[in-house]
Amino acid sequence: MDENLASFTIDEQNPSCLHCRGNWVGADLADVEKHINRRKLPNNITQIDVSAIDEFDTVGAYTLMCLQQSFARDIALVGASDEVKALLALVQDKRHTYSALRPAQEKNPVTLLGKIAVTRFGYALSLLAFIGEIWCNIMRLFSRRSHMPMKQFFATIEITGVQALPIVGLLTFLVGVVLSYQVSLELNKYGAGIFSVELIGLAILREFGPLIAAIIVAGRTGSAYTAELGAMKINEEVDALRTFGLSPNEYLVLPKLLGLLVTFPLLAVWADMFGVLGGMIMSKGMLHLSYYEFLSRFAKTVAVKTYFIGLIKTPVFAFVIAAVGCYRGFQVTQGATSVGRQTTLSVVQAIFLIIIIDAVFSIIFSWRGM
Amino acid sequence: MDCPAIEISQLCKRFDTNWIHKDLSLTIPQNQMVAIVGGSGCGKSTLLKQILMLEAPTSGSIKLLGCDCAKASEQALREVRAKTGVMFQQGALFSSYTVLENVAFPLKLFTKLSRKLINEIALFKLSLVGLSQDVAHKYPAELSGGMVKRVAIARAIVADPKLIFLDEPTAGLDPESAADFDDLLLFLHKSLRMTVVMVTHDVDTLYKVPDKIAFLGEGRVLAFEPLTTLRQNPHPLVQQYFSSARTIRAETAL
Repeated sequence: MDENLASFTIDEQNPSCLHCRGNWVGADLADVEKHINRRKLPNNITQIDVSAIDEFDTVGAYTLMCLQQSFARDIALVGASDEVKALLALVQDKRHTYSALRPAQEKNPVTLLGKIAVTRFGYALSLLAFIGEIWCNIMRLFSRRSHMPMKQFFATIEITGVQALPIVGLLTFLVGVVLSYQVSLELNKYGAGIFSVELIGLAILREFGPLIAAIIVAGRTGSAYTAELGAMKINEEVDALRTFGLSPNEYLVLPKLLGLLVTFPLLAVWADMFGVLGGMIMSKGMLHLSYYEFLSRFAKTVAVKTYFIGLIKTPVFAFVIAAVGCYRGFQVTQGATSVGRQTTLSVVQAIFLIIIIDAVFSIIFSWRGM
Repeated sequence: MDCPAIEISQLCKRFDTNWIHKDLSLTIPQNQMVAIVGGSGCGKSTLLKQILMLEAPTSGSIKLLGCDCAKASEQALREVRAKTGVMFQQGALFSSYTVLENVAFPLKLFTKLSRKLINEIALFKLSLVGLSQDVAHKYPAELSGGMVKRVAIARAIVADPKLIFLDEPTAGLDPESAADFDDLLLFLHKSLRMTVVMVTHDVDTLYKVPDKIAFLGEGRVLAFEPLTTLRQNPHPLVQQYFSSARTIRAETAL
């Protein structure tokens, strides 16, 4: 053990005197503190000899003060150098006792529930207000009373569209492969392998193509929107725009929203193509169905209507992803943690809404008999 | 310990083809207050980053408290880091921690003291820098600029470092707060006996606080002397730096 470690011992000749020695500095005081807190010091101590202390800092001073005050009466300090005296005086002058300063937390479950409900309702209202504001901005844009930064618009198209092509293509291709595999396994048992063409076509075009693309884009683009706007808000760039008389909605949100409205339907078409391609390749492996047979049956049995039913959902998905992403970005208030929290919320809520909206579309279509 | 607090010898630093430091040497003895000044782009921040081991020098050596940063073991570096405190220009407080947690952070990291004692010492340091208990449970985003600076310096000094670095301590403060902050620095230096190294542009601070000033220029230390003699230094860069109207105003105000 380090011989310079802070410690205190009782004088052998004079049992009323404590000797402190070693370096009474921050890192070396843990043992001393434990010793003090155990409160097993004899009662007859009347003085503390500090002349053998080598190094001394405010943590040491604080601990020494604690030691001094752990006896319920006045204890004389012996052999204190000027340095030790000065630091002790400073500590005693400015000390604070640590107490539970935190404001009392609400514990009543009914009150808590009410608070949560009110804040959630507030979120819903402000999201609604945000969407309303965006619509007003779009209207203004079309009536040519405002203009949109075209550079950002095209940058959005490149980042959210062109750069997303490989990942969207690959993932939907794999979904097509997996789907085809499962479907043909079952259908082959009944000798009805050929029907896998319709199944794959319907599933991919109506549901999986747009849905998978939406989930990828929500994770890829929605989160990026939130983080970007959040960082801009912390950096006061959003306020700077306001001082130029620009609306952050017009300048930041519209290019992102309209850009995604252009690219997302195209991405869904891309996803449809690769999904069907994956299904077709797997069908050849599983069912020995040639590409020609697959495609000619696909053309005969899968109606163009299916394709449009899938695509009609895509602008709504794009709007939800961009609106939620931007809204969450503006909700960022302080610091790095807030950006993380809002980004998580943005992705979770966007995917949640996408699936809900998809379900609503399904209900409407089945109700209309489509 | 009689070794100098900082010993920089023949330091060279290059970014691509651009030499920031060419053969820079500087020795700062313990318990001094030293300011590093120089025109914009003369490498003050780069020098500070290299001293703080955030960036590696191209060549040359830096010794902190007698420990050669480039050759020291992890354990030795950890000890050096425990003995240094840094106050960043924007405070760099952790936004997800409260003020008290921010200030207590180095103590939790470098000591094994109990949570209660750590919190009490953190509160003591907060009152030492002139903050009341009320701010202890606030988050950094709820503080004013001056308070952020004070919390930042409380965090820098909480573990009683031997060496403390201040990057632009008074930048962004109103003149009164800046003057208060200068007094605080002098008070802390006097009562805690540490070596203070600051980078500053604030002429008022330069006149009031440091014992000596290291003037950077042309990639090296052009002068390292008290302000009164530095003002007489014939080097054109030094004369140019101190000839501006602001400096003269600060001088006449004295």
